[in-house]
Amino acid sequence: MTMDILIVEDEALAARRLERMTAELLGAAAGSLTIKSSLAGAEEHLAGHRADLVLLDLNLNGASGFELLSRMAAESFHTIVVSASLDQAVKAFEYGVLDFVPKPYDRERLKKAFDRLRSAVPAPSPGMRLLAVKNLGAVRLIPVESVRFFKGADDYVELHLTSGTLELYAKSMESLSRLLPPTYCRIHKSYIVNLLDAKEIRVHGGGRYELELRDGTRLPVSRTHYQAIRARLESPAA
Amino acid sequence: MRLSLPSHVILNILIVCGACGIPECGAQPADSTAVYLFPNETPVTFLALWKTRRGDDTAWRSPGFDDSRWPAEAVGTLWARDKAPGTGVRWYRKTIFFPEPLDSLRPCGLFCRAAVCASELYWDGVLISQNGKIASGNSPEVPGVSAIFAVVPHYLAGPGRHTVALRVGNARTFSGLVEAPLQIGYFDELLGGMRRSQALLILCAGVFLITALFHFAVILGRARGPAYALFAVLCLSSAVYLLIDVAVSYFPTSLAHYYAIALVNDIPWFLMMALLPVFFLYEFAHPLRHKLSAAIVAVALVCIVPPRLIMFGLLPVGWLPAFDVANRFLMYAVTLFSAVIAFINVLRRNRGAVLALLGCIALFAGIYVSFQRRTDYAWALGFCALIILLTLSLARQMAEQNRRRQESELRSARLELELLKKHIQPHFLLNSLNSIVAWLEENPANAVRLVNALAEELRLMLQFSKEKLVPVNEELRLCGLHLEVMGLRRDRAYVLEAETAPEGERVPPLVLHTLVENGLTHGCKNGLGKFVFRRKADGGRVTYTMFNNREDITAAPHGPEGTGIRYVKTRLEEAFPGAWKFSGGPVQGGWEARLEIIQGAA
Repeated sequence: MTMDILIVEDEALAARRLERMTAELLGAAAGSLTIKSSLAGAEEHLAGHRADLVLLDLNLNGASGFELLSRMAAESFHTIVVSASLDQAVKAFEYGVLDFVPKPYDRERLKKAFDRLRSAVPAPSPGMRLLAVKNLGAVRLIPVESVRFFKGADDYVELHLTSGTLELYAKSMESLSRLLPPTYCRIHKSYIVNLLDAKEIRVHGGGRYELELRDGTRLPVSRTHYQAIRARLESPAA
Repeated sequence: MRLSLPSHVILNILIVCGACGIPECGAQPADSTAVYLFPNETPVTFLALWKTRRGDDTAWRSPGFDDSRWPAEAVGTLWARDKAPGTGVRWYRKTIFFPEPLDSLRPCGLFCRAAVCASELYWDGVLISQNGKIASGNSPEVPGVSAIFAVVPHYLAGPGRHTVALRVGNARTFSGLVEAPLQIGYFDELLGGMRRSQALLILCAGVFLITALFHFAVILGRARGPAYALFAVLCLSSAVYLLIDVAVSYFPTSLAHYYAIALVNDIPWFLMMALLPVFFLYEFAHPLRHKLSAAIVAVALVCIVPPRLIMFGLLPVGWLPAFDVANRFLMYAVTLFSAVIAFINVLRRNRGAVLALLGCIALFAGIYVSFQRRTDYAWALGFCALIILLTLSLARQMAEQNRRRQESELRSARLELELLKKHIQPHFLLNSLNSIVAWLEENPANAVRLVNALAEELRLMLQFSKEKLVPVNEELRLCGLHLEVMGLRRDRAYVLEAETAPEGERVPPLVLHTLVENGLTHGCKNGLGKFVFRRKADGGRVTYTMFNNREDITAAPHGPEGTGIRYVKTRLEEAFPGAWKFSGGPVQGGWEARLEIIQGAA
């Protein structure tokens, strides 16, 4: 499967280098490579084209980096920030970016970022804190703690909130599981919960397992995940 | 000091016993100059009104002589009468009554100061004091001393009518004046009153002297405005004036030098009178201070010089009260003038003005009491209060100045830090390094150019960071370097068309640089990025404009432009307080920032 990649960078020279290096590192995996020098240009492109990965500079001619971040984080693709504004790295991870590559960078650092696309390298602590949700074009940021559990639905994830409402998150279960903090755990093909919210694990006959949360919600646990979850719940470090 | 008596030419030997300084108390008998005295109730009395006559006759000493046809005059007013040296002798006579017996254990006495030049004092025809020697026949006049005490023999001080006669000779000087009213009373009270008065005068002189020294020290410590110097000289003059007075009373001085001392002491007197209002003008920075000061000096000279010319017979004016009226007028005028200046500044809420006004009120009260009660020290105390209050006022201003200086030093430090933080941000350096790496891969020659331009830009910025103002042309060079760096980073062409400014013309550091940065952030999106710097001098003001081409001029400036413009305005206010204007707006084809500086403000 090839990836369509968008580079958002206002300095032509830097954009050219990033493009060159990305093409080299991803090789055949890189499908299309597009460069846009402004936020408006990037959004225009995204309206008409698919993207699997966005390489984003946070300083685009004075536009606020976080305006960018929240808009990009609400999309289904992964975002890797490539920026000199290292002071914004922590916040970028809170918004759920896959990695933050500080400028100036070399080939090895960029490669590491691309590796995270494919392998389950855990997100750095404290990891994602805010889930950017796009609703009628407006981006809303929802704190991770206000989600009771995540339920996968096709290419989306349903966010079941403590308030009882439901929101749709544009990334896939696989993408999301790479961004969430380490206490969040996939318990089933379709469910992710924060293990800190788990009350107990129940075993029913016929190899059926259920996890009860502190608020009484019961969610199915798949057989493949049962042993690992049980071990984590029993160890005090969980 | 200059009391109501015109003859107060100066030698102010002390007078007065505080509470009883009311002249001529007691009922007036038919003789307009005669008085009843009650020493048991009023220990000391002033004898101001006397029957007086020029000429000499031994009969004039006797109590039986009929002086009812002699004119009555207040002593001290006769200075202009007996012009020219060697006019001889003048007599003063006065009748007093003791209605009740005096305390037999307390001697009664008379105190007479400055009867110029030699004098004899008779009580009921008996000589009780001789000061110097009046010329007679071939023997020349021997001058007396500045102050004398005479004891009334107890056997002559019984109840009833008494006659005091004073014979004054002035063979050497041109005016046989008696400077102040004679004082009569119990001897211990006469001395006590004099001691109290002297102590207060020395106290005041000490305050003036210390204050003067302190302010001279302050001036030596660091350069200050004229107000401090004026105040120091004012205090010193007051100290000198009082010290001469006190010295003359402590060390009885020959009356032969009476007029010389008087003229010498007129110098500090003039300085006191003139510098007080002049100090107020400079202290509160009155816009017309130079002209008004000249006027004050002129008024003081007019009030002081002509009366002395009249006194020495150099002006053919016979208006006797001139001396007295001129002195009173001058003292009240300078006090009122100073009070008005202080009051205006109280209304303007200027620091220290309230204290200064209170000081003027104290001085006014002191002068009023002095004139009313013939006390020397009342006005001196008033003046002392004024000097203390003004010192407090100056001290508060000094503290305020210190605070302001510290604040401005702090502000400068903050601005320096802000400059470094704003213009040499980590992301600027890191992005530049990233671009250098990119050029190294693509075209190493450009990497070298970028490194050189960046290094030169950083050097200039660090050099500028401590300066309040930098040459316009250097600032333009910095702008050129920044455009080169950014051009290489973005791989685009930027040009700066700049008019050169005259040598020595300066602006705060990185102000033009900030305008260029804003242009780079908001404009010059496509094609050639063009910057145009123009300078226009028009009379006292210089206008600089920085143009850059901008496609979308409707875009409201936000974020970074806000902090950039705030930086520009802060620096301008620091370097040219209140003498600058800054604006920016769309023009044909782009954006123009406009900076006006009123020259000579830096």
